[in-house]
Amino acid sequence: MNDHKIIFTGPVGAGKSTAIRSLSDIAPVSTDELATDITAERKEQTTVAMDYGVLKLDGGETVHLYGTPGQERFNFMWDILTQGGIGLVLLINNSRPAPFTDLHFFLSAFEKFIDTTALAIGITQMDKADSPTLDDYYRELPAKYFNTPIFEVDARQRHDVVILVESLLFSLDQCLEA
Amino acid sequence: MNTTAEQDGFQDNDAPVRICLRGIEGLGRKSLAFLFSTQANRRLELVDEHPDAITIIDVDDYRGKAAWKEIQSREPAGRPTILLGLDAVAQQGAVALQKPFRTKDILAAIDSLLKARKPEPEPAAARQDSPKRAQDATTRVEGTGRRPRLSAHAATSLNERELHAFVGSAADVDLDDPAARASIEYSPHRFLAHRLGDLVLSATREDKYLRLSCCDAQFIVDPKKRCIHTDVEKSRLRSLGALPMAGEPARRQKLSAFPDESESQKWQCFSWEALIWRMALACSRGRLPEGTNLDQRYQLKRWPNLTRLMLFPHATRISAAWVASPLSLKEILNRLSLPQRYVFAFFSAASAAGLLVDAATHPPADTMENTSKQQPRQRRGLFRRLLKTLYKKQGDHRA
Ligand SMILES: Nc1nc2c(ncn2[C@@H]2O[C@H](COP(=O)(O)OP(=O)(O)O)[C@@H](O)[C@H]2O)c(=O)[nH]1
Ligand SMILES: [Mg+2]
Repeated sequence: MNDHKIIFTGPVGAGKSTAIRSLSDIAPVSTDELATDITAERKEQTTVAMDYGVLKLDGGETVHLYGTPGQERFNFMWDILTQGGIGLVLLINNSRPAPFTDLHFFLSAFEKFIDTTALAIGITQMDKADSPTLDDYYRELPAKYFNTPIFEVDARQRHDVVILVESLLFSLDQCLEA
Repeated sequence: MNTTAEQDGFQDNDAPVRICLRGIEGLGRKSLAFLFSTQANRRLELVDEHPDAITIIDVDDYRGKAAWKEIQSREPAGRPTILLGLDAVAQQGAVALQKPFRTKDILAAIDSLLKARKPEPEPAAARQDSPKRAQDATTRVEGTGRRPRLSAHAATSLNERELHAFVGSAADVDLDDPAARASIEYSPHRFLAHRLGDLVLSATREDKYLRLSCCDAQFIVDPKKRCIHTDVEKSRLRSLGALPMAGEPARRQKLSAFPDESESQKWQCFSWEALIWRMALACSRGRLPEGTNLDQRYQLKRWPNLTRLMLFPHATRISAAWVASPLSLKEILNRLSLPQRYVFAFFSAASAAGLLVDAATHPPADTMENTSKQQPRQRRGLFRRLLKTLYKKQGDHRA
């Protein structure tokens, strides 16, 4: 469990798979084919559709990118998934019927993880649904998350996903120099 | 993938002979502007700053003096400059004109500088040679030096020329020296970005459409759609943002309804954040609004929507710092150890867009220190390598 990882979460169609694919060095695979640290702990869960990607750093280190499975199932796994994680990227699909409900669901599901690490939120599909607006999301956010970056994101655009991850890292450490 | 410079949906067209004036205000500026506008066979355009511009400096004016000093120290190799003064002398490649001079003298001086201008090396490479630039680690030249890459942020594809047009290249100055400070200041009320910023504030407060007419252009702030409708073409927006309005009367008008289609058919609608951000960068070019208090604390109301804005080096880092706690300009410069121009550019854009506000007026955020977030310092090395990988790939992606 020493490996570094960034967790991508959010409701169905929010762009988790796409975002991980935008960043990953390898063609992302799902846990069906892969024995990860999580599946090592709970073998019977290996068929969960989970996204996985990898970023290889210059020094030889690896940053794993994990996408969580659907919220209806397996949320008990998220604890294991997030152990040692750098931070959480939450993608919210703006074209779903109740995006704020999704927002609160994921914030509370990952509350412990967020409170000890950091959070960056990308609102996707804003080209399809332009409300709620970013300001609406900021208003909706619980007060303790006041400094969370929220951006309009198209998961298909690597540029957007890079800025999300960048903001996550700078939120954790403003003295970080690029 | 879009290049980052166009990520906010705007593009620029390049063109004519650009001229910028230093230490020349009021009547002097007006008469030169008039003279240039009458030159049918030369396309002379007054700009606020531009890497390729010819600079005309009144060395009898203290701001002009400071500007000339700054150019001399920043670009020892010279930059096309005309010095105007009662006893101006030609030096360091600059042409001098003694006052009083005639219009044909100044036009001849411009022509001589244009003639002297050799086919230029790639501007980025040229600037990279100057010793000051080399210290600045925000750019590095790869391989042949033809395609500089920014290593300090996600906007890898912002090219050197665009960077120059939006963040400038001013070296850090001693902020306690009034003359030096004057050289890095501009008057916000003379630029469209800040006028539009004010207009947005009023429109939101009154929940009314507000129209601004000036510079042969129309802008309507739409508080419902949170956007600005304009009849200005995309390609003109940057130069319009960069040009001081020189006291030109601007008409402000409250509208009870949005103009009907016959009038607004060809108009475009831009997110006000993206439009004002971009225009403010163009007028600031790494400078500060006049009279800014360096000790006054500011805070971001929220993160700028960086994925859809003109992104420049360090913008993400500056945002993170200014969103987390109230900081004065001096404090943020101190904390982040960045070249001043990036912080000043950010300050101008974020305050014009209404995002960066006086910390005293901003309800005190829940700034409790989060003691459990111990990991950063230990992981700083990892984060740095991760960013490097992300940026590098960004560059490769484009190539
Ligand atoms: N129009 C639009 N499509 C998007 C955007 N972001 C992602 N998509 C698409 O939305 C679909 C769902 O994305 P996917 O990554 O499978 O979502 P997941 O369920 O969270 O893994 C894919 O076809 C993406 O290409 C966006 O901002 N706008
Ligand atoms: Mg998926």
